[in-house]
Amino acid sequence: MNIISFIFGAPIKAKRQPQRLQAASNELEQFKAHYAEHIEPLTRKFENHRIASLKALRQRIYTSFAMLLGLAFVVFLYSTRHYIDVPWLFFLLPALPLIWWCLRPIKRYKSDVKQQVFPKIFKYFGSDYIFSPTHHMSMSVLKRSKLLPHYDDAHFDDYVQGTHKGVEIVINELQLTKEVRRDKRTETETVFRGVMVQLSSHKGFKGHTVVVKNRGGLINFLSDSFKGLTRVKLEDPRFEKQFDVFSTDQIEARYLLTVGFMERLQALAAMFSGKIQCAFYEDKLLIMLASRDNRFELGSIFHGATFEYEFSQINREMKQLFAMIEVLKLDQDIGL
Amino acid sequence: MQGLLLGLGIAVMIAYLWYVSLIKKRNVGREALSGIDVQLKKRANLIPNILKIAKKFMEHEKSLLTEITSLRTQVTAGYDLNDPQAIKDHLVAAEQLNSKMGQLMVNVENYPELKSDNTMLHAMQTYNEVEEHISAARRFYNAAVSDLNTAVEIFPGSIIASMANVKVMPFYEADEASRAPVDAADFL
Repeated sequence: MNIISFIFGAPIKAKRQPQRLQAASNELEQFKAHYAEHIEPLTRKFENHRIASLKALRQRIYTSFAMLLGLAFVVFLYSTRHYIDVPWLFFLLPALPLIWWCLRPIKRYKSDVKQQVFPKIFKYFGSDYIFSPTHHMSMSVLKRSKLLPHYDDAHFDDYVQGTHKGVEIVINELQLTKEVRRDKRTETETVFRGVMVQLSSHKGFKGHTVVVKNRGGLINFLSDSFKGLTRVKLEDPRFEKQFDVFSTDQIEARYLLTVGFMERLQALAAMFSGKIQCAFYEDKLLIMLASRDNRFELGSIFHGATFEYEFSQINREMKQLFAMIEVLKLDQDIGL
Repeated sequence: MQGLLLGLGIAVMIAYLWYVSLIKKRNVGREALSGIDVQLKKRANLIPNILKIAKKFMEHEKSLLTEITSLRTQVTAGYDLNDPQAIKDHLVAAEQLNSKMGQLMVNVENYPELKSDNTMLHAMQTYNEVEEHISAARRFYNAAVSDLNTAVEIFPGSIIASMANVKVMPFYEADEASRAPVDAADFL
């Protein structure tokens, strides 16, 4: 079913899709067991909820359409007799609350999934995992990373927190905006949209090292520093082409930026379909993934409420983060 | 006359800036060298503990342990920062120590009791971490030395460098043994 057939009255039926759970072969059994125990029992309830939401949506669309037609007819009658002289656009204003009213059941359904299903998905990675649409990271800690661009307003979305091998993981969606003056008007421009990933480290980072997107040859030629940090020239030309590295500690920067780490970083960026920057500071690693995708959201409302795709996708992304912890040995404390 | 003075002034200014850049490069090289020394010191502090644990089990490796002790003393001894040969000897000794320690780590495999000793496991893990730090320090040092040597060896930098007594610095090269290609037959 798609939006057109839905509006034209296609029957709304419960869907039981075939098993689409995907995980590495060595963990597939455990993965399926978690699904069967924690998520699958919720699918029947949410499938009913989804169908009820779709039915409510269609009913409200029809009602709204009828109301708008009625209003348009009245306006047409009055305007032809010159009783009222108001621009046509003005009569479209009632459409806005109607759209809001129509979409309410879907929003409620999605919000219920986030509150009841997603925390159970994240419990797969450990009992200490929490998922919350309202929690958020500390902005002052993020600012100290020296990665954030200039912004006026910050908006956080879904938040995940948990540990892997004793390393604390925090994931938060973030949108940064700033006010820009254009032609005597003030517009809001998005300067960053994506995911912030913060990994704690058992090792102490003495310096502050940032890996930022390549700023271009001319800027690099004119400036060898970045927000008080000095440039680290690495031997890998492919990496140098993509990134610029700056640090307060040249040796630590080279110790951290190993080939293995770089590969993991790139794989993570590909997985989140975004551009990546990161900072090692205050005994933590902050990864900034610019991405237009809204993470931890449900797929299409027209798909059955099995949550198999969401579970598999989240598992893949989390495994990349765990691999980073292992590559960097953030879990080891050997007293150096 | 005025033109000549102006030209001379510009030449002096360029020579001075060249000199400043050379000194800066030399100082970065020295900073990188001190970075290596910090890491070598960490390793040197760790070695006696490793040897103490190893001695309890490795009866047949006495000559290797003595050699390591002597190389450690050589590496921790001071050297002249202005003498490229002294720097080279220091780095060669550090690399020899690295090679001997590598040999010791391989030999540990032949002593099951030692291999499973928790203190030894922790010490080896720490040692590997220090080695990674030394490797990073070496990359920084070699990058700085490469910059300096290029500036010192190319004309007119070579003239200014000889006048300012700025000398080329030796690279920190990996040990011949670790650079040799691995022959699988040795392990079969």
